[in-house]
Formats: sequence, C-alpha cells, structure tokens
Amino acid sequence: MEAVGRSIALALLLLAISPLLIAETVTLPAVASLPPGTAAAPFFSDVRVFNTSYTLPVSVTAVYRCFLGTCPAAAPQATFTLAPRESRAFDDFVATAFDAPSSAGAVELTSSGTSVRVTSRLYSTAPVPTVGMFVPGLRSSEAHAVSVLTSLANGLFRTNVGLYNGNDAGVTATVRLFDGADLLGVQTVTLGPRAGTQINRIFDAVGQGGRVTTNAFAVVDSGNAAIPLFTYAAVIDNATTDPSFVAGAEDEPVPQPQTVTINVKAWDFSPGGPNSPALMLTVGTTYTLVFHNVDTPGTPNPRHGFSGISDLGLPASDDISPGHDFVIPWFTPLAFQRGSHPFSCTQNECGGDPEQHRGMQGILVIQ
Amino acid sequence: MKTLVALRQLSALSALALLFSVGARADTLTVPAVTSLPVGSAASPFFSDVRVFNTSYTAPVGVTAVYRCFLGPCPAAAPQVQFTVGPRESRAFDDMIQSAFNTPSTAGAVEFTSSGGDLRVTSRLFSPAAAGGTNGMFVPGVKASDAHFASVLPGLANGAFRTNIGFYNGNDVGVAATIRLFQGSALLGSQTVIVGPRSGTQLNRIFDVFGQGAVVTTNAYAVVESSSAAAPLFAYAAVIDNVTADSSFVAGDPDAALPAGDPAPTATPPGSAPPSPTPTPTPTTAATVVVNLTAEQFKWSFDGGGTSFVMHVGQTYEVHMKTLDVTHGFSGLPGIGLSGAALSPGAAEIVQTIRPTADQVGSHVFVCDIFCGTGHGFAGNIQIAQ
Repeated sequence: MEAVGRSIALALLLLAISPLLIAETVTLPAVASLPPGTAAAPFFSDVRVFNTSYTLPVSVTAVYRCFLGTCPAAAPQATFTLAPRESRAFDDFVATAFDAPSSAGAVELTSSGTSVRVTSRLYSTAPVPTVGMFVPGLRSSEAHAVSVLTSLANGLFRTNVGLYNGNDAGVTATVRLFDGADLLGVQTVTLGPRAGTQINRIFDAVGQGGRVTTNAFAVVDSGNAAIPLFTYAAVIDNATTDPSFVAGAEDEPVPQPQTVTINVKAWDFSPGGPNSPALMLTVGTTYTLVFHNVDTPGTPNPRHGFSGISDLGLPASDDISPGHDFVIPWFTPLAFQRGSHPFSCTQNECGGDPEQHRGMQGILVIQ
Repeated sequence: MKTLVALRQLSALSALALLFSVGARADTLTVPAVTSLPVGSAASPFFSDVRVFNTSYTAPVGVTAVYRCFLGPCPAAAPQVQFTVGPRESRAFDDMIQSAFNTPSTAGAVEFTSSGGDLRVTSRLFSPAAAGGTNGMFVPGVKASDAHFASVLPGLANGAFRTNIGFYNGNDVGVAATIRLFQGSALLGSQTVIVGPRSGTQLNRIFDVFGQGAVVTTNAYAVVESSSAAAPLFAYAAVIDNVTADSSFVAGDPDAALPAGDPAPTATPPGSAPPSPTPTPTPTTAATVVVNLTAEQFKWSFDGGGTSFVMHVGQTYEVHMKTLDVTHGFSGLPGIGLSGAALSPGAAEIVQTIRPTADQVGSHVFVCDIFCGTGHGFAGNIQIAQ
C-alpha cells in the first residue's frame, strides 16, 4: 500500500514538473537576409520571440538551417534568455544573430517548457519602405507528411512554394500543382536532413507560366509518413510585390497510383487503338500511365509521340522510342470527364510510313 | 468473467460510438476577419477572397457558411449559404461577403460548418492599390482549438506602421474581452469590450485608441483575455505599413493566464513619465455632473441634444457613453483625459471621469473610429471653457 502511495506521489511529481522538462522546438520555415544586389529583390526577416510565463525566465537556443545563398559550413546558433513576459526583437535576424548575410533558410528555436511564442515578418525593401508577410513560428505538429496549399495564383500574381525538412533523415518530396482538375505539373525535390528549398515561380517551373488563375492548389508529399515537412507558399502581387504567406494544411494521403502500360509500336497504341481496344480508365482511380515502345527490331524510324489530351490535363510527348518511355506519373479521372477522348501519334514519319502514321489514332474512355 | 465480457462489450460500444462520432462529426472553421467595403464606404476599400477546399479523394462534402456580421449595416439575421464541394475541389468565392451573402459595406467573421468531410479554408483580405494591383494579407480559416481564453499578439508596431486588433467570439454566450497593450513591461493601455455571442469587434489604430499614438515601436505586444475560460476568443492583429498600406496578419497565440492574485497592471500615461505622488485633492465646489454621450448612425449626441458640449475648468464630469444601434468607437481625447472606447450594442455604459484644467481650454474634436457604415467617421466636440 505504501509502495503504491509512493508511486502515485512520484507520478504526480513527474506530472507537475513535466512541462518544465519538455523541450519544444518552434520552427520558422522561411527566413532571409538578402541585401540589395544579392538577389532579384532584397528580403529581410524581423523576428520576435516572446515568453508567456509571468514568473519564469526561459532559455532559448536558435539554430539557423541555411539552405539558400552563401551558407556557413556549420549551422550557426545563438542562445539567449528571455525574462518573464519579455518580447525579444531580432531585426534582420539572419544577419544580426547568425552573421550569415546573403542567405536564406529556416530557424529552429528550442526551449525547455512550452512558453515560447515566435512570430516574424519577412519583407522586401523594394518598394520602399516595405512590403512583407507574416511568417509564424510553427510547432512540430504543424509539419505534415502530406500538405495542401490553397489560394495559389498566377498571372497577376506569382507563387513560390517552400519546404523545410526538420527531421534527421533526408527525403525526396513531390510537389504537384493543380488548377481545378488539371494537374499542371510535378516537381520532385530531394531534401537532406534539416534542410529545405523554395521553388520560385512554380507555374513557370512546371512549364505553365501562361496560366492565369487565383484558385490553384499544390499538394506536397514527403512520400514517408514518418517524415513530415513544413510547407508554405508565398503568393505575390506582381504590381505591388505584396506577398501573402499560405501555411501548408494537413491533407489526405495521396492514393497510390495504379500503373497502366500502353505499348506503342508502328502503328498502334495497345490499349488505345486503332488496332487494339480503347484505353479504359475509371473515375476516382489514380493512374500512372507509361507509354512504352515495343517496335520490333529493324522497324524504320521507331519513334512515336502522344498528342496529349488537353481536356484531361494530360501532357504531350514526341519521344516514345526504344529505351525511352514517356510517363504521366499521376492522373485521376473525375466524374465530369466521363466519355471518349481521342489522341494520336505526333511523329509524322513513324515506322517510315506517313500514310500509316496518319491512321495511328487511339481512344481513351473514362467510365 | 462476466465482468470481463461486460468490459469488452462496453469497450466495443465505446469504439463504435467513437467511430460513429467521427463519421457524423460537424467541424467548424472560422475566418475571423472578412469584409466587403467598396470604394466610398470606408477610408479604404477592402475585400475578402475565400477558398474552400475538400481534402477527400472520393466523397463530396456539404458546407454551411454563416456570415456573422458585426461592423457596418448588418442584416437582422445572420445570412447563410449552403453548397457542396466535390472531391479535391477548391471552391472560389471572390468578394465573398458581397457575392455569397449580398451584404456590402460590412465586415465580420464567417463560420464554415461541414459534416462528414474535411475542409480547408483560406482567404486573402486586400485593398486595391492606387497604382494598380493589391495589398493584402492571408487570413486562415481557424479551428475551434485556435480560440484561446488568453491570446498574445506579438510583433505589433506603431509609427511607420499602424496596428488594428480584432477578435471574434464564436460562442453562444456573450463575454467581456479585455485588451492590454504593452511595450516592454509598460502597459500602454487597456480596454474592456463587451461582445455578444457569435459577434466580434476590431479596434483600429490601437495605439491611438489608448492615447499612445506618438509611440514608435516594432516590438509591442497585446494580450486579449476573455472573461470566461469557457468562452475562448479568436484574436488577431493587422500590422499595416503606413506608406505602402501592406498589411500582415498576426494570429493570436495561446498565452498564460494572469496569475491568480496578481492585480491587473495599470496603464502608463501618455508620455510615459514615471508616476508621481498623488496630490492632495482640491475640495470640489460643485457636485459631479453626469453627461450622457450616445453614438448612432451617424452622429454623436450629448444628453440627447447636439454634437457639441461645453465643460468648465474645475468642475468634475462623469461621461457615460453608449451606442444606440451598432458598434461605434469613441476615438478618445487623451488631451483631456478621455480614453478611446468601443461602444457595443447591449453592453454596459462606458463611464469615464474628468476634471478639466485651465491648460485644456479650447475645442477638442473626437470621431467614431470603428467602421460603422457609409457615414462612418462622424465627429463630436467638447469645448473646455473657464
């Protein structure tokens, strides 16, 4: 009985002091110190670190995870103590606290307890005096294996997408950009541990710079449920250069695609046509489409193409040749896309016979 | 053994209930600041573009959006719209207050409730720039867990910037919310605002409201505290560059509650001179005079009469302020000792006492500083005479 009492007392004691023992890390996923001349536009981060406790000081260790520009060899860090209710100001944090001008990255601020709040403003001094955006300090629970960034825009605006990997393991992440049902493009980025990257003008990066939209979205997938990422977008008005910070929100796991191989030879897609049956796909299922050349050896000009299907957002290719597959990694037909969609070969001389080439047309049926 | 079976049954029942509750759960996301203020209806035009996204790959989700209007000519009943968002659809609502709720020249919050689905809501609140383009800020749709009993808003600025502070009460009960503004350890001012259920307010130019318009800082912070731990509030600040009009949205973070037994801090007077000993009061020669100041769209009235009132040096006045219709803001007259105050419908009168002195003789003009409709900005006047 006495032992039980001691155990309970010990448990209560641990419970009481545990908030003081827990180390919490708050991450600023985007900070910069880019003076005029070091980048297309100058950018700086002013950071505020606040201790909510009315009674206890708190020690904070800030580590700069530089990944753009002139990065120091080792991650610079700064340790400081906040008095109760103190708000510590770090203007141009990257330069003043870490002496790492002309660089950008993320900052991890670790403290004992849970009393630290971190906010920042990332801003440009062009136009004068400033235009900028609020970048919050994020807790580890705000990193996600799959996240979605909405309200993305292009045309009157431009959009940059950023990722930070706050884990001790590297990861290859996939960024998929959508506008409605259209998959505009895919970018794959490899991130080391405690590293990140930013894809500037993502519409340009996926070859869709001419797209005009204010309602696109991006899905960032780390490909590993155990490796969540901090993600964000900066949507920038091209006229005023005013940026808005969009924080990544947790998204559903991306369905694993089902691979469909389309064997291509002179003068047929199989499945697809004209000699083989139509390519049948089902609404709601995600596919990877692999166009694979199967011309017999000795076939003259054994190179074919795929016209793409713009209504479905499927891209074109003019190179389906021996040893060179054309892959559409991710396609999910939607209900309104039901019906027959024709496509054709784009290589006029394929198989050495232009006349036969003209008849090399297939059908994709969404059911 | 019977006990074990019963426990297993109970456990299975609990699991089933949990499963069912997740499936039937209604989630609400709140965008705490939305507006549609066309050109001419406010000092600057402002609009909110909202996006609603369904994360499901397979199931559509039904959404009810309710507009909780609390600034401007609000309709009597909260307007609402219902819509369905398809799998992986991002639904766009440009100028949502106008296009979905048909309530231009107003501002407030929008609650998005869905059942059986998982939504993400984002928005941008922006103003068209004179030379083309827009300036704005991202305003996220926030979960109920993002409302706090006490919130802290760091990174507030004044001088080259201005700061507005707002909050939304998403509860079914009214609360008194206290806003305290700090610079370092100095309390610059505090104000208590009564907010009805599903209502909110915004205090524009918070430094001016507290008579601290001359303070130059980029490192102030504010604490917004609800009168009830059971009624947390969504708090935010908008920090605006005075030259570019670029705004940044600061989301309220959870703060520690003021320790029990600690008296609430008292404000540093404008000019931040250290407090001096309280002088022995001069005996008054007349009883305190009560003055009733009311606000309504779009005029101030003293004792039900004109927009101007004469006070005399040496006389003590008790000024009772209230609104007769929507929320208005008394901009304050720090030069004669009257602090700014938000006047909310149904709230208790704000009472302030002053005793004019000889060096205050003259005309003191005040305005409504909380947007209240197309005639917003109306002025009143207190004349101090010998």
